[in-house]
Amino acid sequence: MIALTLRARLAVTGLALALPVMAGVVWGRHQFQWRSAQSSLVEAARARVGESGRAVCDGQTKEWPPSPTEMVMRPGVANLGRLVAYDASGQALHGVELPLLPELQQAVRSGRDGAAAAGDFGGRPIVQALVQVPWTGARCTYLAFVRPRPVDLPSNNFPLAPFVGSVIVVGTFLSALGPVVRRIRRLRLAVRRSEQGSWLEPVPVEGRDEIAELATAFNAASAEVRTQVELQQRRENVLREFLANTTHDVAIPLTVLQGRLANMRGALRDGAAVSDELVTHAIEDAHHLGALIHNLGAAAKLQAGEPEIVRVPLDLRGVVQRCVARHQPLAELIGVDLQAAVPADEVSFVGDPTLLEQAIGNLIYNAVHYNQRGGHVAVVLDVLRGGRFRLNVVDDGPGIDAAEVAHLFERNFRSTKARLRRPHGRGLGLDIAKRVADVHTLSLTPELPEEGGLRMVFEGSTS
Amino acid sequence: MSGLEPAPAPVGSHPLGDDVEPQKILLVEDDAELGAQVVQNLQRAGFQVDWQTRGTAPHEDLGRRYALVVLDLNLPGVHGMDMLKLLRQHSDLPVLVLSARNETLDKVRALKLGADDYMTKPFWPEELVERVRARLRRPTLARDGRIELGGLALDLGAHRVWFRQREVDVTRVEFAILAALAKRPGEAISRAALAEEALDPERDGTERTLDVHVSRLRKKLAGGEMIVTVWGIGYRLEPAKVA
Repeated sequence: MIALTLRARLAVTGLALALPVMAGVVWGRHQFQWRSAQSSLVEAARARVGESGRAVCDGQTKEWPPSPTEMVMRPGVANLGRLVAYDASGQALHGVELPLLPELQQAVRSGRDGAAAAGDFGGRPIVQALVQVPWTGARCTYLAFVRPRPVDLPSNNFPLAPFVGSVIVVGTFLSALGPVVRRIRRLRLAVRRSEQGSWLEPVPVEGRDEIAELATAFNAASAEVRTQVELQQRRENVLREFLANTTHDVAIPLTVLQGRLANMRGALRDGAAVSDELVTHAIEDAHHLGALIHNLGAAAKLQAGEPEIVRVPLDLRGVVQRCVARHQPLAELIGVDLQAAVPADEVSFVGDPTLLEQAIGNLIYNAVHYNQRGGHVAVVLDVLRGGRFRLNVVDDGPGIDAAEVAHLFERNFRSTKARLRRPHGRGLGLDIAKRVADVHTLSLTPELPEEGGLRMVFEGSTS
Repeated sequence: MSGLEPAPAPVGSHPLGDDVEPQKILLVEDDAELGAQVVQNLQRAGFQVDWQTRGTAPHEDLGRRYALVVLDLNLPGVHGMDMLKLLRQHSDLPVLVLSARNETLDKVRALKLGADDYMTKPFWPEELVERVRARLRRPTLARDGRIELGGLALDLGAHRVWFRQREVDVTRVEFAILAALAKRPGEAISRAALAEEALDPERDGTERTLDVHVSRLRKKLAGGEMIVTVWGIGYRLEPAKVA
């Protein structure tokens, strides 16, 4: 298939459509004019036959000039025309040598009583109008009225000049499409530039016509492409960051855990008893690793934002109970009393259960992890008046200094007491809890009870 | 282990006591090591366990043979979600889903298909056992408006209390507190919830007042060891101490 430019395609298409139409119109008009002229000539011939036709028919007078020159030299007479007599076969009589034009011979053969045609006589243009004589017993059958061809008489040939004129008009029209074609070409170049620039550069919108609408539609489409690309890039960045964080953060506690397991194996090989403390720490490390992986997953989800965050109707009682059940083994291991209370009736809420469990779980994990043997952690979900609920995670652990409260939700912040009690940790848990609270329009407030410890309070509206 | 096989004999006591037929649990888990661990821990907790390592279309009599199903999702054969869907066509058997993917949509889909609970890996064996127990725990039934827990009996309509077959004279507030605790034995109930249930907010509805009422109630119930103070929460009625 031949590749054509838009202009060439328009020209070819325009001509392919316009030329047959133009030819038809010009030919039809010409035919109409010619038929009208033929009718006029025949009528004029009949009039002349009525005046002097009988004498010419019988050979009493001979009107036909001896030569074409005579017709031209005496234009006044010539323009009036001459009559020539013909027999039934169309042969000229009375010694006149003027054959009928081929069209008239055809008319004679078909028995028509009148016809007209244009032709040449001695190189001079003439017209012949043939009529059947109205008399009986005459020597001729037909009389032809012959005269020089009038200048305004249409030709019976194809009218080339009007056709060429029409072609010129069409060509001019197509040339006039040049600015439109140029605009489309500019639009194409702008789209190419935009494509090379990762769809960041919008294409110019010129005017208010369909081409402008096309440019606007392209800009809208490229904006959507940009949005999707940005979303994809953000996801990729989150994934990259998640992998990097996971590798880094998991490596340290895993190394510690490996060390503890190696120590246990060493003790067993030496026939020594494995200390309960060593096993407890190893289990704590494993729990910490599990929590860390879930936290990194939650951080990635929060970083990606909507629509990764799913909102479904849920019962907060189930969320709380799952979180408490998840941390109960750790609490028992450390020797911390972990208790929970939920209302008897459903506490409905719309949110992402995975993120909510992670946020509440982080608060419980901190309360248990930084507590000590014999300590307490209570998780209490209460329904308040006015369609609100409050979730307290309260402990009697080391708490934090009042001056550190303002920094509690900063990422990577770890309180001095937390650092002293548990050297490992990344300060990710509370940051995630706060961000989860924010995306669910919940408040998360730290409180320092008079009796010590820390109380973290989630509060919000039920659905 | 492939297909459905009974796991080795249980090594623990039944959760409801030695004289009760052990409850039977079906575990569907394809990982050999994890499956063995789960079986061991459930048996240690007193449950009978059948373990199958492939997903299959569940039999119609599953609901009569088992008390609960622990179902992994990524299984060879029929996927766990499809098993759940097929099971729910003919049974209300409790199903606890185990999932390695901590994805909200997976959990939502499992719950929509009829799962009763879900757990994401990794988890501690104790957590699994506790979740199974919680799912199988029977709620306290108030028959004919009466609650009976060992030596304690409450007539909810008449607001009367008997302890060790002797009627105890309690006030309206004390009865409301005791009834709220007895309806959910073994569960901690917050002071706020008890105050909302029992006290008149227009008069003296503070939690400190509640403590005073509980203290009086304990004295009336022969020392009241059954009403346990739960740190940071409120109170709990211990069924084991209601002798």
